[in-house]
Amino acid sequence: MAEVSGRWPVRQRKVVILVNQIKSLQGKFVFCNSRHVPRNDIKFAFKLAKDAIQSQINRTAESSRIKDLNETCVICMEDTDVSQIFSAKVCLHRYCFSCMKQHVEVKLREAQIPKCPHEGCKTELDIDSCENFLTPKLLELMSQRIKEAATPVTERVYCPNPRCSFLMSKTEVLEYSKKEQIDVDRLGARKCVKCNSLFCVDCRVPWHRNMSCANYKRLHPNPSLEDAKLKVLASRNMWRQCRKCNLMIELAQGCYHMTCRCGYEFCYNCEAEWKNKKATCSCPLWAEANIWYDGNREFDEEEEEEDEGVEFYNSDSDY
Amino acid sequence: MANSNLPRRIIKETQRLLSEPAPGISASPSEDNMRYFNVMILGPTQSPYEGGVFKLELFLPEEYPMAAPKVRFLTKIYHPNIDKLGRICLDILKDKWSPALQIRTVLLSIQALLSAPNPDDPLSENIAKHWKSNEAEAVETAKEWTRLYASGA
Repeated sequence: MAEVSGRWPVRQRKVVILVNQIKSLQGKFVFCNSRHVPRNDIKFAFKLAKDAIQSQINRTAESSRIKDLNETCVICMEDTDVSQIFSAKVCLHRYCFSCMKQHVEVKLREAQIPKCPHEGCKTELDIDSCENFLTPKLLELMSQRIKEAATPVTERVYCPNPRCSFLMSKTEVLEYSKKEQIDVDRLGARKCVKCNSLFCVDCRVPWHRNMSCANYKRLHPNPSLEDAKLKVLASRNMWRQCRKCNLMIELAQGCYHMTCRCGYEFCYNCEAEWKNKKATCSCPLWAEANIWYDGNREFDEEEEEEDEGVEFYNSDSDY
Repeated sequence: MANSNLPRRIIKETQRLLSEPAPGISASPSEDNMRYFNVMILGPTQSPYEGGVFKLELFLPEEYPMAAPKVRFLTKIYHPNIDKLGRICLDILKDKWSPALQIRTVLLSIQALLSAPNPDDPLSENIAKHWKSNEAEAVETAKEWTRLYASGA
């Protein structure tokens, strides 16, 4: 205490640094008085400090409407008007709208749920907090990603109407169909929550009127024309389909070890499963041609363990 | 020249790298391309790379900081997560990249990787096998390579 108030000179280097930090903090306040507190009251002091920080942040946001206040975004390092600064819920890390938009877009395209960019921060962003800086299209993509992540693979149903393809959970589409008075008990008839078209949840095709699933399958032994086209395209381009969730995957570059979005791991070369981070086949880990080395650039390193798969779309026809 | 449109972020980072270098790390931009850095990392103490000076190159792609920097070792190194072309297996250089990370954080992570090799997530299969089957011997080889290729002479 005597050190902080400046009555005693300080010698130890670590203490000097600490005291200097305290002094520079003190300088930022209009009024500041240091005081000893018993150990038990530390929590109370912390709460006071938190409330003070919170009120300061709110005040900054409010006063920005009156006069221009700039803040430096730590991503682009540009000075930005505080009205254009995003503050993450919970963790309160702050970045400018422009950087946040780009960051969220990159992560969404990589099929990840965007998180707060701060190093090691685990805060997942929600739709509401991104409304200020995302385009309606990106917001829709984000809500789709969040819904997909929240729906277990086996619960996912995509509307078979190719112009819709809306993602629903089995429970959701069942409840909706019941409400719409579809006879859900007898057959797999369901009504799409979005486009309202009827489809069969077992065959995953538009509704087969006056026909049982068995009859439909007997009369349509081959996959639909679109599915057949996809299969041809896939085999021509050497794409692989995840055995667990049917996602179509292309190896653009990197090693043969694939980790699908659903978590299934396999060898791209022979399609054998990887178990406990180990291959069950004896294929090489990669083909040198897929470990890309772009001579035009300075260099390019693009190998590594994890998923190099580029997703196309969920053909979704087999389960 | 391409350098005239250098984003403020890159300029600021470069200034700080030069004025306050991280211990055991130096990074300076190339004169003709400000997105290309010559990097040197000292082998961490109490690692098989102690006493070594490792040269790396680091390139900031057009999309930086939305995309990770591209980094590779130029000095030969015996390490399970670094392959014979010097390419590095590190999550923050791939899917765990975040635009709030910087050149400094990347280089510090690489320095930490030298202190803590991870043979369970290998880039070099043979070295990883060696590491798992006989760690003492693998460490000896790493020390030997450090003497041979990274002595700074």
